[in-house]
Amino acid sequence: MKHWILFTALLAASQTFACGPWYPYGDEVRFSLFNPESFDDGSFSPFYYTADQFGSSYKSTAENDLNTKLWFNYCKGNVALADIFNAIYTTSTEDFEKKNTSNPMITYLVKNKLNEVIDYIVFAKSCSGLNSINSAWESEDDNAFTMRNKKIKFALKKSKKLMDTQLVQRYQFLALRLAFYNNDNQKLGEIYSDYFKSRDDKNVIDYWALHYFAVMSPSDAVSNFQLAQVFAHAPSKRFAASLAFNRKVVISDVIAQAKTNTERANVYAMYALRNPGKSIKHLVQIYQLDPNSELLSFLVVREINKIEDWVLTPRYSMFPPSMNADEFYDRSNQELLQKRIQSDQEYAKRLAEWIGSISELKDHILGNLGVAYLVGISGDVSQANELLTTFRSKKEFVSLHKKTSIVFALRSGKSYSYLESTQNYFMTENADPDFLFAVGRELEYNGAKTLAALFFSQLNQNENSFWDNGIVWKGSNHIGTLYADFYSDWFFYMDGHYTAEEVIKVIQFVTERSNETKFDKWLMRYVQPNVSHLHDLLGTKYMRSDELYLAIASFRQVESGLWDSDSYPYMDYLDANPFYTDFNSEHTRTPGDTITYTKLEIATQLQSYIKRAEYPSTKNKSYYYFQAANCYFNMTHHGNSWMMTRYYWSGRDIYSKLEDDGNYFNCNRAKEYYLKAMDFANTEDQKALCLRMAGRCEQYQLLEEYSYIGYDMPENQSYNRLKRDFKDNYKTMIGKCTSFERIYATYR
Amino acid sequence: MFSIFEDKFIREMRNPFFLLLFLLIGCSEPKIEISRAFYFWENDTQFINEDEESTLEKLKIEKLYVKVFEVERIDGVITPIAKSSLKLDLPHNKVLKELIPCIYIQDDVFVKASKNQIKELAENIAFLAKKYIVENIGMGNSNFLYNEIQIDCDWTESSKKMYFYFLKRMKEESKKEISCTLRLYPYKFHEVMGIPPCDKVMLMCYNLLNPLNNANKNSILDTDEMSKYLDTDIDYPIHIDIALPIYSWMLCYENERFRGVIHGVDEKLLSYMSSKNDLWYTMERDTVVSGVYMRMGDRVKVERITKTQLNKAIELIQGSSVLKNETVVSLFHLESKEINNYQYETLDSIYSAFSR
Repeated sequence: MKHWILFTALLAASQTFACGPWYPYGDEVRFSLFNPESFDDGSFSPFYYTADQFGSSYKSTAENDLNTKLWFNYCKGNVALADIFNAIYTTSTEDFEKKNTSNPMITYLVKNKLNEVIDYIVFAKSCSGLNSINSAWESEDDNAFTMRNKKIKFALKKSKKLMDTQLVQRYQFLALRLAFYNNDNQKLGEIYSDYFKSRDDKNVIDYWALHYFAVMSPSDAVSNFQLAQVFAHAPSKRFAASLAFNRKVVISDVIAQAKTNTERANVYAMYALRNPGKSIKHLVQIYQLDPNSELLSFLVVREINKIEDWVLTPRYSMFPPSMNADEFYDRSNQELLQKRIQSDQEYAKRLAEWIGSISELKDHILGNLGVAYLVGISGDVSQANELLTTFRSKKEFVSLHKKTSIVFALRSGKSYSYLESTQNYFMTENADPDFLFAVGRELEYNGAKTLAALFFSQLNQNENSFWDNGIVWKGSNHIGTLYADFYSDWFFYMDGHYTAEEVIKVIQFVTERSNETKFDKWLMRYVQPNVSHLHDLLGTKYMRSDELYLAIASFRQVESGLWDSDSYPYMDYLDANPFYTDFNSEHTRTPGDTITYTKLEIATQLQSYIKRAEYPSTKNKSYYYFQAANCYFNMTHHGNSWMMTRYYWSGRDIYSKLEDDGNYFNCNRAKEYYLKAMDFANTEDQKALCLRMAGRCEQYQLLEEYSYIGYDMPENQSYNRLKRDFKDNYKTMIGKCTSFERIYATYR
Repeated sequence: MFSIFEDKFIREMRNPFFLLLFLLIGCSEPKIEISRAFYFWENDTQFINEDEESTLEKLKIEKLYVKVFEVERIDGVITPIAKSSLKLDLPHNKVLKELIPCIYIQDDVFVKASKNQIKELAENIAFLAKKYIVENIGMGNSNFLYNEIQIDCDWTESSKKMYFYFLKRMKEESKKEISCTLRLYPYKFHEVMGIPPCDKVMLMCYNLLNPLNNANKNSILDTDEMSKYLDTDIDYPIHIDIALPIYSWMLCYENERFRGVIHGVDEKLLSYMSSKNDLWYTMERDTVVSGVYMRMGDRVKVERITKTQLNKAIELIQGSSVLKNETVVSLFHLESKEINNYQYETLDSIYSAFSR
């Protein structure tokens, strides 16, 4: 036996957290079915609802990049978007200079003798290396400063000579941007005023120019207004515009700058954009001002994501909403949490009613699926189920529609046969973990705990993706492993939250099912190969309840080799002699560690000792009770065979609330057997030894109950009795370890 | 109860020369000249408003300490951030004489920095401080004096050596008076924390307590705590100026867990809360403030400074060995939301109380 327990022992097969203490937080616990990526082209990605500061960074693509579209129109649709995107952002300056005709855009420009465009692109690419502020310390880098000035002059000169209006605008923009990076506010202001301020028919380049102008300007209502328009019209500048936008400026002052309703709607959108609370007021205003605003549908999805978090995160993971994640949430806050959820459900209903009233969204995915989902979240599941059958979704939303339907169908009580009929939505390679988890939870809430366990077993099977989209959850009865108060593994969840009878049902399902269907095979794919673990779990549960016959029967079902395998840390944590202990040894090597047992052998031997002790004709009853008591002691937190009753060992016991905690931490059963051993002891020494060991158990109980709460600890009654009744032995029993060996040897 | 300092005092009283000196001093109470000052600590405010301008004039503020930027390590690179947007256009103010650029530097900038990096940092700060205080904030107005740079850094034992080297380099690079902020802890425990090598220090008489660890105390100004640090007879070897707080904040908690701070007391938010005492409030409805989603049941600790607290703090300072002769008294900070919480007479009395 080794000094094996340092702080926490983990099952090798469990999810390990190599970086030390980790507690799920923020988006790690957030529940969401409505993936915002499905609703836009990625241009709003930094502003998706998240517990983090920002969502994922904006990814420019051939499809969402407005500059690419501008060039596409310039080339009169003769060059594919992807080829243009590639040419302007990837193709080298050299290829343009050499007019490398393998690129379709260059080919088009050469063929149509658009040499001025090629010259422009070469010039633009030569400027890109100068797109950085001189230095944060604002010391002037003469070289870059001079180069930019030269290029500003060149660009403005070019813009005056050219006839092509788009090229003229592009050169003017480059000059303005160079002035920005030269920190030359005056020049920037002049260029903006001369060439951009009064332009009609604005394109994305105008909004780029407005962006630099606004960022350079004082942060006030005017610049806020400008940034709001940039945000609405220039996706690639959205992130920078949102950072520069000053939310301390009063909204009415910014609205006052607007001339059109669309401009006003864009301003309201900026204030709703990163609002972590309820934004319906601004959404209504945006709709009233600009019913077709592109920003509106994005903000509606964001609002749905918030409500999912506020209502469904607590429902499924039992963590608080991600924005308010707090590991110290406990029972005392449940009432408050429920009150908040109730108000959020009312909000979901209000939002659903408003979205449902918008004629422009009548046939839109948000107008039907969004509304149905919100109605369901609000608690009206039957209406949600009804609504979900009244429309057909476009191809890209069919899966989401079905997933939503399945979750609410389960909430209304459907079970196995329904799941089997919808199996294709689970049995996909990349099934949404949140969806599988929601299904598992709904089944669990319906009492279908066997099916629920099989769904939980589908989660977190890929360790590599655990940190990206893993699922963590808590249990309703606050039982935790000794490692944490949350779960990421079906097995440990069953350990804490499934009764022995429920475990048996899962075992029966995966071992006795005849005519397995494809769906069954999928359901059981992770549990069936691990059925031995379930027998082990069952045996362990029976050990906790001291039902030795049942424990032995369960352990007999465990395949040979499990306890020796790498997936079970038995060899590290259960390789000591469970029938030996002394006055002080807990997890250190003892003279008794000359033999080891399997879990089955321990249970069988324990049963044998008890039987022999209780057999009327047994002469040395005290010895057998003493051996049983040693074993019961060693199966507690303080002994060398704790793994008979637990899968984790921790110096802290705050998370465990299992049914035998009284025995596990307080050694009640061991004390009972030491006292029985005393009743049948043949000598005074043996009696004293038994009482001394009972006193040891009592001491753990006193420490457990009194040491943390600062009360005065009562006296150890067993030790008092030892002192009173065995005066001669008391000193050596308490003070000398060697007396244990001396008296224990008399038993043999 | 006598302290060891009182023992020393009694011993020295037996010295005839000391007794004579004591009597002479006792006959004519020393008059301390007070120079009135304010701090301005906002980054993104471009112009001071009418209330702030009027406060400067009415209180006859001579010096304005302006935070011009902060310095942090970002991805390992020492970088200036939170640069001031202020433009100080005060054509009618004839009293304000001097602008002092203040630079807040995070302590970890000095940990693991080489001497060369510190030298470069001092060059950069001297350049940027001048640029901001003269060209940007002072708008090139030569009527404002620019004589001093103030460095604000809560140095530790591990950063002390490099921080002190930096202060010396700042003097060389800027050719200005260098002052630095001094909290009460390094004031009292100067033997451990060292004496910063600069021309003068600004003793920050606030923020002595960790706001998150003292549930039932006002962490901005707790005079009982303050008295523990001033209860010393040390003769600090550098001239000391005084900074006092007139700011407030709301510390937001969800389920006893700190979530964020709202600077100033938001009266609208206050109207959404119920209170059992002056410090602690409970949210009665959901709302968003400064980007924080406050939900019903959340708790908020509201900390503000009263006239009584300020008077007590002044008494403690006067009863200590801090004040010497000509002293700058600066209030933190110039923002209408904060100064409007006080009557003009109250603010004026803070300065005049030191001259009495």
